[in-house]
Amino acid sequence: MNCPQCHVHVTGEGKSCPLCGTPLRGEELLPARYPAIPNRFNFTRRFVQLTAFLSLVAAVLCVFINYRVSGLLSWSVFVLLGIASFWGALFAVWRGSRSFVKTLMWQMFAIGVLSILWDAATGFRNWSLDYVLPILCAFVLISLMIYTKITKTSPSDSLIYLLICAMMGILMLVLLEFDIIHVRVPAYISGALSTISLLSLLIFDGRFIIAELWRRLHL
Amino acid sequence: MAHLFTPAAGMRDPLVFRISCTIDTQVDPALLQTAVDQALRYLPYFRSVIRKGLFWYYLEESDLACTVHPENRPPCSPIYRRGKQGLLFDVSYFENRIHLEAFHSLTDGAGGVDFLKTIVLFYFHARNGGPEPNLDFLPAGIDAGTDNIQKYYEKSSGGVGTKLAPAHHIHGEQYPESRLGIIEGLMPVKPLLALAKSAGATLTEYLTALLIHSILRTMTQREKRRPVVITVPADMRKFYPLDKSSRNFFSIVNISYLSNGSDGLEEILQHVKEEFSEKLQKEALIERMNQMSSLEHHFALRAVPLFLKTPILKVINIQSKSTVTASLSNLGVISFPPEVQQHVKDISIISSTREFHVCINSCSDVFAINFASHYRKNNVQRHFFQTLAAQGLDIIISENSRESEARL
Repeated sequence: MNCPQCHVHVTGEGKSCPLCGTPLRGEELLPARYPAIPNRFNFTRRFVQLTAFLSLVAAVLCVFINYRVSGLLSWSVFVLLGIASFWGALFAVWRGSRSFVKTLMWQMFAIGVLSILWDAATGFRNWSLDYVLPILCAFVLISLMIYTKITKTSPSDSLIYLLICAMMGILMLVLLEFDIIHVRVPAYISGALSTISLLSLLIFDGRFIIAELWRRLHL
Repeated sequence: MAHLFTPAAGMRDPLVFRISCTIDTQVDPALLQTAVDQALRYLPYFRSVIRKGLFWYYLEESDLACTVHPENRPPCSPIYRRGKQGLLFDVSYFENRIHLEAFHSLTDGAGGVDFLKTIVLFYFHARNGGPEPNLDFLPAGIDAGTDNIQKYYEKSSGGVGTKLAPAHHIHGEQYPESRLGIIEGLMPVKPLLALAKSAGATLTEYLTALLIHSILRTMTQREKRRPVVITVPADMRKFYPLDKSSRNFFSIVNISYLSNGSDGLEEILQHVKEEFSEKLQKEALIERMNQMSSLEHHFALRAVPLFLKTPILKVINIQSKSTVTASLSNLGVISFPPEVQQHVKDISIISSTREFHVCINSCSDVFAINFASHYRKNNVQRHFFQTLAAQGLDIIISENSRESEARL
């Protein structure tokens, strides 16, 4: 097909000139050089929009009812905190969505931070530090080890995370020593697991760790 | 440059370029797969993936396999996704065209052309038999990952570049999903060369001048107070023929033109020629290359952790883009040995961009000019091709699919 205005040939089955929009003339169809590619329906975006809308409606409604009924804000504050926690956890999933190990780490981080916040908001009875953090730490450490054994992924992917987790576990013991954590058993479990895995990492993969750290810390 | 490119990649400009080769028959996927596997044996560097350090991203070779697939994404769609580990190139096909798309941290246009050439040579070797293709043009496997920009880096005397005035920017309504609108013009080489020659210029000079001319025609009087700046990448390999490498090794020349009211094509061409002869010198190019990578060597920035560095580098990248109106890359003449050349119809190159990018190259006596732009209006492309057609050139125009009816 030809454009009478631009004096060029045009490929494909379009009816008008890509340059000037004039209807094309001629019989001979030159084969298209690009396939038609449909727009994708963005599921994630729609989901986020819908969730944002619903949580905003819930928040406004709760605050309004709470205020009308009791004249001050009491239980609705917890609803707001709950919604905020939900978004925090959702963000963590999204951040790590590209690899299992990352999802795990971000979840651990989100659950850790959120439980400390909730504990603080409900009178700080120390359950987050006494129980949640050590158990979380041990759980992630075990999951990471099982994951690397099962999938046989390059250990360099999870290595740094294993190190971070092990450090966290040892930190639990330090916190226990300084009397910030009062319950012994969970802290001991996570501390022991961390020490064992740290030692095994150093002995079996020591050179590898050093090479990996060297690469990662390159200035 | 992997250091600086990777953080800068985003949805709008994923820093991907596409090199397409049109052959004489439908592409056979099985043959293409064999060809890619063979080519990767000679260029293992292309198997590299990006890894995240505490301070920088870095490239590491992997043993991932590449699977060829039918073309199913818009041209120059993002290849590198932060945090996801995958190959930094992609091979697809459509009818009789083979596409190689690559992330710019991995390689530059010249490196990509070498890779595609290797794939095409192996494709025809698998199809037609004959002796093993001659791959003398490739870097030795062990050299392919050498970073020559680092190798020749010297602290530039001029500091981190002189401050430039903001340039004119093409603007307007954009395509959905950050899609690029591609307009490709194919034309015979000889008449175009004759045209440039009769104007007393090289092809790059002539087409740069024509591009500036076309952009000026779309500008309002008010907009003309800002200069039109075309940035032209220059391959540095020709200055260092012994240092073969697939990694980025280029510098840039900025051609700036400020309207003076009349803006005839001859007048612009004269100015462009002067700018090129001044800036296309080896020393000037090296100086510019060092300026580009000076950020990588900035002692304070080096020690900033990556997650803080990424936004900084993004801002710097966008800022540097504000001094540029459009880019024009000339990938030159791409040739094959005669037994393969007869099966290759044309090669066509597209680069993703924040704004406006023109790629030119030739192969098999076909000259390809590709405009990539985010904007629906294509006045610049129209002026450009209409001017060439008015000179008697036989041009074939193609466009990609920007949006389909099926929208939810």
